[in-house]
Amino acid sequence: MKNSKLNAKDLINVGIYTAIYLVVFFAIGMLGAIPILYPLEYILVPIVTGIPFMLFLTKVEKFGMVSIMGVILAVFWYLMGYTYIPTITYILAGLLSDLVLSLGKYKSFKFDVIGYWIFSCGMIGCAAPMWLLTATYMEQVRDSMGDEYVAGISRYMPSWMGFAGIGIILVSSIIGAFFGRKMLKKHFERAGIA
Amino acid sequence: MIVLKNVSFFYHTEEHKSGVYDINLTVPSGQIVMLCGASGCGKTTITRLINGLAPTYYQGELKGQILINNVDSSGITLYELSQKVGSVFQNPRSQFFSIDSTSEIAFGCENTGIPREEMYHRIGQVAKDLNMEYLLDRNLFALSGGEKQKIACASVAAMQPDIFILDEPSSNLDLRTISDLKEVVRKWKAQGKTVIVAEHRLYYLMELVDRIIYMEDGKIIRDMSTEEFKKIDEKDIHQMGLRSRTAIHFEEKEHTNKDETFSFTNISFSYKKYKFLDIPEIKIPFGAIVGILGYNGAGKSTLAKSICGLEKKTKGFLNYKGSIFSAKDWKNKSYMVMQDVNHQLFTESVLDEILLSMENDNEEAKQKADKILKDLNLEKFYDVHPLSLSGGQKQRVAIGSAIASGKELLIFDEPTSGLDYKHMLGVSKLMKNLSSEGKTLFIITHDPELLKECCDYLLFLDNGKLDWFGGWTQENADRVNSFFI
Amino acid sequence: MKENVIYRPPKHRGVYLDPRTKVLFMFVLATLIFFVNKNLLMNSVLVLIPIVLLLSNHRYRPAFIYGGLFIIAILAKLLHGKLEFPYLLAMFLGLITELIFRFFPVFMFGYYIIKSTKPNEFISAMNLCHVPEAFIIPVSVVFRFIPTLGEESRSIGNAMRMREVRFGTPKFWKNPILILEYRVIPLMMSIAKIGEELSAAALSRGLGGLKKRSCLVELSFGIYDIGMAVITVLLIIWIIVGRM
Repeated sequence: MKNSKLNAKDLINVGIYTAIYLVVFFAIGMLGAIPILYPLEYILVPIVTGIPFMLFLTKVEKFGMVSIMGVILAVFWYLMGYTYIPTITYILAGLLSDLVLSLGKYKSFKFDVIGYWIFSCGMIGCAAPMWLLTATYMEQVRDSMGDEYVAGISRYMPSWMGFAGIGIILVSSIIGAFFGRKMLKKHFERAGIA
Repeated sequence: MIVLKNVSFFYHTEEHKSGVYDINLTVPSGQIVMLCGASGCGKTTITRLINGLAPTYYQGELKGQILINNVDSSGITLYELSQKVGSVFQNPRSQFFSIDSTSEIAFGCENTGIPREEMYHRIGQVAKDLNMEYLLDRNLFALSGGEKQKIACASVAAMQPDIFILDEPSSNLDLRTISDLKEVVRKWKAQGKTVIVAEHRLYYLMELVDRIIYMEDGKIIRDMSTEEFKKIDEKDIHQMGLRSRTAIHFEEKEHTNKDETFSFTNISFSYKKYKFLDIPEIKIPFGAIVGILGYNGAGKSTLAKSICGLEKKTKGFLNYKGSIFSAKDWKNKSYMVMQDVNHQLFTESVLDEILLSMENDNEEAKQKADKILKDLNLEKFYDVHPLSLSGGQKQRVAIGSAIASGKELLIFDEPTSGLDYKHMLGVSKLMKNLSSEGKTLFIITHDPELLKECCDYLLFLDNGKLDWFGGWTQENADRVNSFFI
Repeated sequence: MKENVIYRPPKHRGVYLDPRTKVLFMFVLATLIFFVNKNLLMNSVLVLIPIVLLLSNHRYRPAFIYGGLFIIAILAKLLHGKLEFPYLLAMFLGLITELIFRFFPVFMFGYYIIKSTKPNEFISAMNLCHVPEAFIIPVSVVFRFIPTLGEESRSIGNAMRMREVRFGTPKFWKNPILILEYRVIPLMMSIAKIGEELSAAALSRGLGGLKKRSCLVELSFGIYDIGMAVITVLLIIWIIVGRM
């Protein structure tokens, strides 16, 4: 680490892995079109993106790369019409994750797992508009149909999913990170790419 | 002017083993130099030393001195060097940065901060010079490999460097675009630029090149003028691992009688009401090696994919040894070895890769896999990760898995692109072996030498229709000759 | 004599908005949508804007699908209370209509932005807005790699089909996780390789130099951008007046 400034090659790497992350996210996100399968995304996305993310981390040695990835994703969600809640969560997640990773000097697997978990938590923001929606919707419903009805809905639309999500993502991130590392050892290192 | 003084270079990473040793080379301005030699001889490394990618990007240990226009290149950055030396690389798919063609041409100028109005001038000029106005403002992903390569040349030319470096620029091109590439080099020569080309294919540049440098094992073995080079005996040229210097001439060949045939009938592939493939019938002898020819967009790859059952929209029948198969079942009969074999290697070891193609992985299957690997000279690599092998070895693994699948129709998409003479011969021999084992082979190729060496039947497609099919009769040989000119 | 040939970029046809306008209006739209709870008319206007833009961009299918769904949602809202639906269904319908009202304008506008803006326009817009290179370069790479990922992935899918490694085959049931491995690993390998070659090609053309980069695409606000600004102001006034 002679030079801590990001060079062109680093920036290209950020772009490549962000593209992979986005594509994988959208491929799995198709499932999320059916709201009931939404929790499934919390499990699948961190597991599958574990491979590209762990490979990405082998190319990262400087502060800023993960943060930039977070910012790009944030801007994409914004442009895709996910409102600004995922924008905020992804920027925060990227930055925090980068900080954690830099504490491990981008070499420690323990810090990698934590950093990856934090990064994955950014996706909670993508569902946040749904909760906001249900919240305002509840208000309207309460006006017209009474409290009992609202309680009924809440059972089907748990807004504590957000907090539970952090836990679920922790588990799936750990699985994803280990899976990703296994793949690195099994394929990329032996093929001389990582 | 380019001067390399006592230059040696070793790569740090293991993946590129081919360094260079004790290179002394002076290229005066305006000279067109061709670097040639077998794969791994170090010619690519020389190009990287001149454009500065080695040692800055491809890290390694450099000894000696490199002067570009009298400036020591170790003292200047890649960015400064990029304005003097422009590079075009081998793979058209991986060297463009933008999505549309005009932005790509402007890419280098943008990086060096050329003002917009000046960029407009340069783009207009370059597009005219390289005769590619029709390629402006197009989506790069919709262009052919040759068109992409032209854009790459234009992008470099727009930066107006004095020196052009081309690293195997024709590897992925068909003949028509190769002649376009030749015109580009001719233009640069007329403008007094220095051009250095590392190549296997020699014939297309013979009339433009001033000087030929032959390398072996990282050393310059011979440094000769074009006249001198032309005097070398053809046999010695092949001995040196080089491709032919002149266009290949095809002749009538005696026909090895292969009577028994199978046939495809009523092959059709329509998309948006347009028929991309429409072949009423082809009868193909068992064990034939069929070269599939045709221009870009003639339907070669659609036909190949159809035979493998990869195009769901394809209709038709295959009458094979008394049974009739409809298009969706063809995939049980056929297997394609892709141009980019990286896409079809999945597992973590060569042995697994072969076993993956088999029904089960019991002892019997393992013995069969053993034999296949021995036949392909791969027995040393049982436990090696397939993707860590060299290009030719990877291709053999892919062929091995094709054999293991037990399928009888094998399709090869450009199996010899970018191969030197020796490796091309190796592929050709392998093809003949497969054919003698009763497999029928289809080869899409732009490589005249491979075609001459191993194909015994030819299938010419034009606009999705079968133009002609047959062996090497005088008439067909003439047709092939006129196709390759 | 040297002939002078100058490249001129093609003229924009139809309704053309500056990318900066689009991004700003997205912000306006996403904000306004929270204030229009009970104003059906205004909500319709907000939906109409992306529909008109999509139509102007010849994106008929999505425009009609979104438009159709929106009309259904309006009908559902108008009929609300007049028809008796079972408990769960009513709840579900209510949520769907709310979803359409709340998010469709923003989603549609997002779709319009993605489909109507060329990557180089985005990049130029970012340049003009003094976005740092450290952001612009990776974003350009993302744009470039998304179609590449599609190409590579299709090709790998073909290879998998040929070898009968796919969902539901006996080979699949032996070890289902392998299907993910076979799909993702070759993809990443080839992307990593393309990335390495791309970096080399980009560096040899001066990417990452010291100088400020210039930009080929010229952007300027036009009559339609002014139109959007007027619409924005009117909408804001409407909301403020409506709240009073």
